[in-house]
Amino acid sequence: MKSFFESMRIEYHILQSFPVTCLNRDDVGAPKTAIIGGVTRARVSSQCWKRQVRLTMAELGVKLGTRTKKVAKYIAKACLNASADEEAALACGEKIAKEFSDDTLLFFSDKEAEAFAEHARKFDFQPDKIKANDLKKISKKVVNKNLDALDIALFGRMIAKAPELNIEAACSFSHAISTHKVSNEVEFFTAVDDLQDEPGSAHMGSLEFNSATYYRYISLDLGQLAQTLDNEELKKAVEVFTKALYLAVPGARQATQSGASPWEFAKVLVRKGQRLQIPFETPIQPKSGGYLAPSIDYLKTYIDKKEKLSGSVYGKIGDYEWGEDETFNLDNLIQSLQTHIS
Amino acid sequence: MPDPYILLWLEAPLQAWGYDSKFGRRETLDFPTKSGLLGLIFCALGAGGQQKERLAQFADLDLQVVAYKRMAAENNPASGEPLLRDFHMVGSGYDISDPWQNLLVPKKNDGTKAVGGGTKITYRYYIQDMAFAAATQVPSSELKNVVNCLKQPVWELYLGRKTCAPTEYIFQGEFSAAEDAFNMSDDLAREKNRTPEFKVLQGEHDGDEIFTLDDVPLQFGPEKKYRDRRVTVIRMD
Repeated sequence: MKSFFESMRIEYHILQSFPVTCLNRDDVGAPKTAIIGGVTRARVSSQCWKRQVRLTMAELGVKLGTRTKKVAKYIAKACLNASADEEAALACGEKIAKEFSDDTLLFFSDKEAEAFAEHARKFDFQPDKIKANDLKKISKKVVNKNLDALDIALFGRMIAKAPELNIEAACSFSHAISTHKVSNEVEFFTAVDDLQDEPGSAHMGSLEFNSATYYRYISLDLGQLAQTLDNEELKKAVEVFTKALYLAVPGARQATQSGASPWEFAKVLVRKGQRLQIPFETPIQPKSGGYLAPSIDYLKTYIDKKEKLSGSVYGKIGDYEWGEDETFNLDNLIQSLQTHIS
Repeated sequence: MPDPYILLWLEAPLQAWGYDSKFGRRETLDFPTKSGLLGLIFCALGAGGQQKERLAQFADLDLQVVAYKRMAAENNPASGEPLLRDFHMVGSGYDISDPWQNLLVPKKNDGTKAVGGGTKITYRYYIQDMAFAAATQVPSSELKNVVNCLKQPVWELYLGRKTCAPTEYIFQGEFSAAEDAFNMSDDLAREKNRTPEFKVLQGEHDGDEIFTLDDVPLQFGPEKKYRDRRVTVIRMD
């Protein structure tokens, strides 16, 4: 069946400027780079920023799956909640756990445990009546249809041993690349020994860093997400994902360089056409306001032009700009995006 | 009537057309593979799973690719950029006392920790700042569906690796011959200040290099199957 959300995606075009930082290091400790438009650009790899977004989502209290060896206790708790008495709950928990695992870690969602408890309740919590085949049927139904682990739905999972439980990630991150030419700088430093008896430094070293205005492109495939989540959870997913995109900053050298700059400008589109990121192939030249102002101008002009030239193929459904109008805050942005999910 | 061609334009800051990768080194060829391009088309169609019968229809059809590099200055074509090597660690720096973060650390097959904690180092290679035109023959019976889906793809399209989002529309028209498709792509390249660097033909022709690629997909899904084809590379610069 074709879902309402098929081919529908949210595209985040974000500009974010960082002063002296080394947000993402290569194997010699230098900031990562790429060559685009014939010049070197600063780069933060997709996996680097994605990891921070994933960790930030966990901090935002996203409902996650549980992976445990204590399956019996976990299910017993669900049985207790389904009004079993303690003894029966434990017995059912143990019986069900035995059907599924022999001392291995299992990935469970609360919904799954609830469904098992509900099943046990039908038999008045008599463990002997619970059959493995029924449990497997329930598990398949619940795990695939009602997965309540948002992180898995957004970032996907791959289980080599059980490919039928694989879930394709709904979000994709591009490498963040500076809109302009960047040269890495070397910071030479020395450190003194507090207990020294000769003059001079006890240690010297160097650190590479740069500073850049990054263009970040992230897309969230609502069609893909709607295959694993229902509508209410879809709204929640959009909320937490957008917040995490806003809050998450790569972790490298945060103790020494503290590069905690927030978004400066974002254009967020809801579209049904093929996704498109902005190439920034001609490096942005600094103006009196540095790189940011001309980057914002270029971003807006580029997207407008692309949309005009594309006509109906562009498939635009919603278009929101964040960063210039102070009355339109992040919560407003999230609410606006959620209006497309009804 | 021979099967028609569609022109696919593949342009992005970074692309990666995986081929022959083992363990932690994820290589890329310097041009798109047949399996990568058919993967892209099947993504647009939202066709998951093995797709054996559908793939069989495409297996013998023609595929020709032209690589366009950037012009540095007038009448002075730049040499293409070197491959980018992205250093990537998986599983380091997580708080393993947090059960959820612990999940993000790679484990051995039996679920236990690897020696040394489980951090894996991988190198991922990318093509930088290139554009490719791929004249792809499509079975007549599939043409309409493929074209519609490329314009409004069911699943997101990417250039070889999910992080490589396109900066231009991929579908650029249908043609009765590959030659017509490349006339169109040459125009597009000129507009974008790009010049042809090399061409990849299917089969053995007069060229600079002829080799075998094991990139004709027979089965997608978790257990992929391929067969090989001969390709000829012709330098154009």
